[in-house]
Amino acid sequence: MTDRTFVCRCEDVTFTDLEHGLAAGLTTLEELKRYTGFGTGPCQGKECMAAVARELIRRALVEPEALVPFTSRPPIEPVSLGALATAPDPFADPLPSAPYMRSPGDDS
Amino acid sequence: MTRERPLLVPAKPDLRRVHLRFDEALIEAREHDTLATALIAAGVLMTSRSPKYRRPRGPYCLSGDCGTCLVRVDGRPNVRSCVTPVREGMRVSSQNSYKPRSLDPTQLVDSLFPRGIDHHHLMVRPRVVNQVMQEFARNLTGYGELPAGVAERRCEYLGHELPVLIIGAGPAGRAAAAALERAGVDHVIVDRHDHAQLRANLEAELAAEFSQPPARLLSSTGVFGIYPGPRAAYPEHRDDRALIGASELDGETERLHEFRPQHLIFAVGSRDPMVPFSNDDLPGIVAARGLIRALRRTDARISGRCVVVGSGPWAAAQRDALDELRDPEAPRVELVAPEEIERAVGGERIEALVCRGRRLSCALLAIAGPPAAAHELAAQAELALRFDGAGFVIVTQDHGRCGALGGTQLWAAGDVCGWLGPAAAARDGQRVAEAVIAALDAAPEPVADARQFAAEAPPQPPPLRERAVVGDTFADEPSDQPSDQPSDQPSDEPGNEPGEPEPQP
Repeated sequence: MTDRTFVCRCEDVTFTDLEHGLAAGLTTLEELKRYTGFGTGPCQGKECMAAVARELIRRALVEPEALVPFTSRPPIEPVSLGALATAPDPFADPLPSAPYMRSPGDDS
Repeated sequence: MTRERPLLVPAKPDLRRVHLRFDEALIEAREHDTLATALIAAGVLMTSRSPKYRRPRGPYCLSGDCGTCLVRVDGRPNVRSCVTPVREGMRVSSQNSYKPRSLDPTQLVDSLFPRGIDHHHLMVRPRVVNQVMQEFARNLTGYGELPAGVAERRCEYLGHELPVLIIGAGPAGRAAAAALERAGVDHVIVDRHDHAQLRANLEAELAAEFSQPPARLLSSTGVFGIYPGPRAAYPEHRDDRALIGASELDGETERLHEFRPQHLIFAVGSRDPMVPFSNDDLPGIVAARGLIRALRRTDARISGRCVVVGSGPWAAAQRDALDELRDPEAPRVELVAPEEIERAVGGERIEALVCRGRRLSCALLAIAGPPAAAHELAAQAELALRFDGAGFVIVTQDHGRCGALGGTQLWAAGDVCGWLGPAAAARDGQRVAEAVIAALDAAPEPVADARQFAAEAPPQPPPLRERAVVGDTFADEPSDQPSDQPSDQPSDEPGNEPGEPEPQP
């Protein structure tokens, strides 16, 4: 196998790709995400964002106080479209009126 | 049975055995195993190929964060093997790889492009070459394979309006829940892990204090998003409560929870991000904390050679914890600083670590980088975040207050505000809960008890049908025969059908 150093394993973004982005003058996590595609896989940055942020600080490209994460969007945990489809329309029916008898405590 | 050498052995041999099939191999697991621990125990570390360079990949974080342990379970794609308990007769197959895995011709991509594939410049022009390349690359990745013969999952909806919601049942969340329980404040605590994993996640020093799970715990419930109230754009609804969406997996039922709390406590803890070094993606490279918790959950011991990567007291503590969890006959767990690593060596599993000229053979490599706060939900609520050198932590004011979203007051406790350690996180959770109780006393909730709502007849998704797939399309056109429509089945709750006429007296 070829030796490669990955910063994002979900999308196969290597250290070399990151360096190309930095050479293009990009210094924020959001820009680097858009250029290299890191953090756009199944983990959505949970594994790679800290590594890229540390690299930016190590190279003194950004002050730690000025560093902001790239935009976080739902869903950050899996949910099926089938489950989402069961939600009532919030404008037509803000809270359905039938009380539910199960208390959250009976979870086995 | 597999030909691989086992990497984990049970501490007690009398646990019930469970059998499952992974691709062509028969795997024998123990009852408390997750799919990921069962595969690692059997020495099967590769579960997929990477999207671009087609390199072998396997479980890394062992706690539901990373995306590399995704497998197909009984036809359902993209199941996280590290949070899926084993079941007798489970049919599991690797994803995104051609079978048999070791003879996959696409693995040549890795050697054909030694200097990497730069999609900004490689084969961008002329256009027709780019189109052919795109099509080729899309077929290579193998993502988006459709479900086949999926057992149908029932979907339910449950709305909650309640005084306090706690996200995360680690030390901080549990201590907060206990304080609220003592004060008689109605609340719900949710966590994405199941009970066995939550028990295993507790450090020994807190096991006595939290021997019982919280009374109002919803386990296996992952919070996927936090939203402003649906009418928050209108000025008169500016103080509507925020809406927190969560998905609970309860056997074959998936329940969508919609929480509207007056107070929300983030106690989501921290994650184990990766540490970059050459070939840091080999199967068998796992997060140290995830491995320790997996070993505690399954009551297993490491039987192969294990090396920990990291520096500082945190990594030393992880090494000591793993060393206690090794089989007496296994070699001692070693600690290596990340700066010393030249590269990792291996193929479908890690074989060795080359550090400054010496070669350390290892079967498992545990990464113990500094824990990074799980900031994603807080970022969705637009809270102030600060980089603390490891991750983005929530900036809190006095007593854990960190802001508001509409009429919902937001609080944060524990490691999500910066690494504290289990005992300090539990104290922080209790402190924040007491502040929440004081805030509730000052401005009481109009309705003191939690209320739950379920729609009378929640819309159900159309049934998934088994259909032959060729390439990335269906082999046949869907037939609209009503034979397998759910409406033919008798409803167990008469009167729920919206179009059904009322019986006349």
